Amino acid sequence: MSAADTRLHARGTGATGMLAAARADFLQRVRSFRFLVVLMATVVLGMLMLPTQDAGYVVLQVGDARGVYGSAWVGLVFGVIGATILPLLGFFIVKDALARDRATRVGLVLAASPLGRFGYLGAKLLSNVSIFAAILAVLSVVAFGMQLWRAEDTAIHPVDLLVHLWLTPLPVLLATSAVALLFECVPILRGAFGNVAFFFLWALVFGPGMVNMEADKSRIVTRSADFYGIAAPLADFEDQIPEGPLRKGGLSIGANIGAKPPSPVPWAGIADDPRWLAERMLWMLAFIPVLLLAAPFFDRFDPARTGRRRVDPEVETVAHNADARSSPWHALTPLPIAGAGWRPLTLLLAELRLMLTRRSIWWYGVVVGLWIAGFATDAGIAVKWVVPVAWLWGLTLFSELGARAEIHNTGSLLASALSPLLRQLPLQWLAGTLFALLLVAPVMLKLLLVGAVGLAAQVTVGAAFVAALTLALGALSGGARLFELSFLMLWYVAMQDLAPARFSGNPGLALIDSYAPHYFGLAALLLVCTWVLRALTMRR
Amino acid sequence: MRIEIEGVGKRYRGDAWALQDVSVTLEAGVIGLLGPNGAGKSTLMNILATITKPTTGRVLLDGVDTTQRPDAMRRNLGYLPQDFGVYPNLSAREFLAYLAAVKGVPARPAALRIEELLDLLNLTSAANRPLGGYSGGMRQRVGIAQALLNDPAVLIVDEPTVGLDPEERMRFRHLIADLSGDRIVILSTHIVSDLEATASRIALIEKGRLLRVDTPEALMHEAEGKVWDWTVPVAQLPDVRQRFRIASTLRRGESIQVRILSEVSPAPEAVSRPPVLEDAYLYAKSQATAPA
Repeated sequence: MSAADTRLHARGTGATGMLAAARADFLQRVRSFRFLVVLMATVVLGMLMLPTQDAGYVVLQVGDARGVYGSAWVGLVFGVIGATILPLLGFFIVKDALARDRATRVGLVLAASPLGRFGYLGAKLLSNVSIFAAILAVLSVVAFGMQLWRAEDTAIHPVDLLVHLWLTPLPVLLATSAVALLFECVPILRGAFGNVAFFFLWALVFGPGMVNMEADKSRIVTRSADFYGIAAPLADFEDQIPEGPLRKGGLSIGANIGAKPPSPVPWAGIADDPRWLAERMLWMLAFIPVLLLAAPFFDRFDPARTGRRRVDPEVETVAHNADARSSPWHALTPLPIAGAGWRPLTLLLAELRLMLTRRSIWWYGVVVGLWIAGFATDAGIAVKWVVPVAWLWGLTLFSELGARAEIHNTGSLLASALSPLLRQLPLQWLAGTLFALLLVAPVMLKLLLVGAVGLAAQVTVGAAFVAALTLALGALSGGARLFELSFLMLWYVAMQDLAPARFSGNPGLALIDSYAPHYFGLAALLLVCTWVLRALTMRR
Repeated sequence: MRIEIEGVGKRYRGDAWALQDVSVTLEAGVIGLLGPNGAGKSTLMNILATITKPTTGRVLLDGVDTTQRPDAMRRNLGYLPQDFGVYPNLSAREFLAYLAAVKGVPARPAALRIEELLDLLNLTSAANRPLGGYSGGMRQRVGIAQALLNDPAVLIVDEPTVGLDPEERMRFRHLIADLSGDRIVILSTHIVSDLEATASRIALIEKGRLLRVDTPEALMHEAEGKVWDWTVPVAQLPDVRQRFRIASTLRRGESIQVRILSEVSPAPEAVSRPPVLEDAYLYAKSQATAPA
């Protein structure tokens, strides 16, 4: 075989290998209960996208108007949500392509194959994008169905609907797929820290950059570089709104609850606008620099580079150099009590030790910093700022608490102990609650010292709620990400000063007027759900 | 103590029976569950360890139905699953202390027991290092230690020697032999030599069914006069394979020594040999699965 033939053969093998790896990865993902749940949730969310006039919420409006539910507007509503909200949720859905190959060790097999670094990452990118494409496909079907159901305009124009629905979000989803790979390649971004980082990247950088209005909220700003592709269609729609009061009122994307029902305005869409179409096509390439950035960080599952802890040679040496064991089993001291009793305090301390030991010096350092901040600030400010930040800092440990047995495969060891549900679950919850309170111990102390017992009770309920939430979502999903995403979204909304979302306490409200009783009830409900879920999965 | 397994079966989704109609009574001593991969050994172990509920039948521990009252078994149980994990940030000592608390062993005796188990399993020198840096064999030793934490009357160990080096495997066999006494030790393996030195009885399982339960001596006695060594040219091996059931082969220069299980001598030059447990297992398996 000539050198040219060899290169051609390698290239052919690479492309085939990449497609095969992408297909296998996609099939592995979609043939799971989790993906079925994602699709079911997609259908439900899709059905909520076109609310009736009296629904009490609006998903997309410009000024006091929205489009008549014709194909173009329906496609745009789904497309806008696909470009803005779906990347956040989707990141948490697709960010396990490399992790799965690492866990199953399929990665080692692929690393030993002719599939190169870019071939492998390309395969994973294709798989990620295919997942998004499956979601968009489901949304497309729901969109057609909803247009007919709402029946404001039953003339179906497939091109108008599909172009807005697919082309608006696709470049963003492609980039999100690549960002998810980048986060999986960079060791520090692989775990919960990366999830938090992406959330803030989305919330603080991407969010405000999606679409803007003029300072006086008179018009949508169109721009030459519109990654989200939203501004141009919305500006075009705005042009269709008659001059007058309908134009006032800004722009709203997402669930605008309690808004005045907007007036429907016919809109034909911009599916035939060559400039917008060309821009969307160009933005499709935005993933390339992200993928190029990810490639150098990809360790190709090389144990020498991987972030996983390697076998400690010193451990092996000391173990092998030790004298061969001679003491027989019957030389062991008999236990004073045959069998086993329940020692809740011992188990509670063990659970707390499990959460608190062997964290990095930086982790403890930040906790000390938060303690100092808790001491130094006013009690109300501490509840408003220090408590949420402290619990955000504890996120990785909270999320691990909820899915520890699944993450570390210790389920069968724990399930073979006495009454695992009755004896372990309440103490895990209590340990989580105490851990949350420990993170804010100075704030609690201060509240008690100044006699703000009600506020201290609110914070305690918040701690109990977070512990119950991680246990419930861990039991439901068998992993940590659902809790991480849910916690981050709730945390973010709470920090926008939306009182009902302030699970960590409302400094301005008395205990009885606050939302603590609701969160207390919710925590109890979550614990019951956890109990049922664990009971269902434990002894099938 | 006595475990009665009565008509136990387990059906998984898709109407696949992993285990069917298994009945056997277990008393003190080491009983080895022997069978190929996928035979249903781990399913039976999970049912005995109360991790899984049987679809049919029941398991009685001293007359108490452990399907209905799993704590009756768990109170007396030490369990080493085939596939288990550890918390990588904890040391062996911390991990064992955590599991001792989960199992309800009082703190002070637990601390002493942990030190003794670490010593017994040759882990003392590495006991304070994070488990994330342990090799597979060392993690397996930690798994064995946790199974012994509560001084169990019933010890269930599923493929315990996987990942152990020959020296460790030998040490583990000694430990199991030492442990038996008045305990019920249920040891599942597909490695026959694991059972040779330890098992007082062997249960043969294949395709989810219990083929038979007997002592190693009885199994070997049955295979007496049915084991033959025959040296043939290498080229003849495929033909021999087709005609006889082969237990093992050993290369000898240009020839190959074949160990054959057969009711009659395969060739005039074949030499009769006393059976070892592996021969007895293969013979018993062939007898039990042979068409009537």
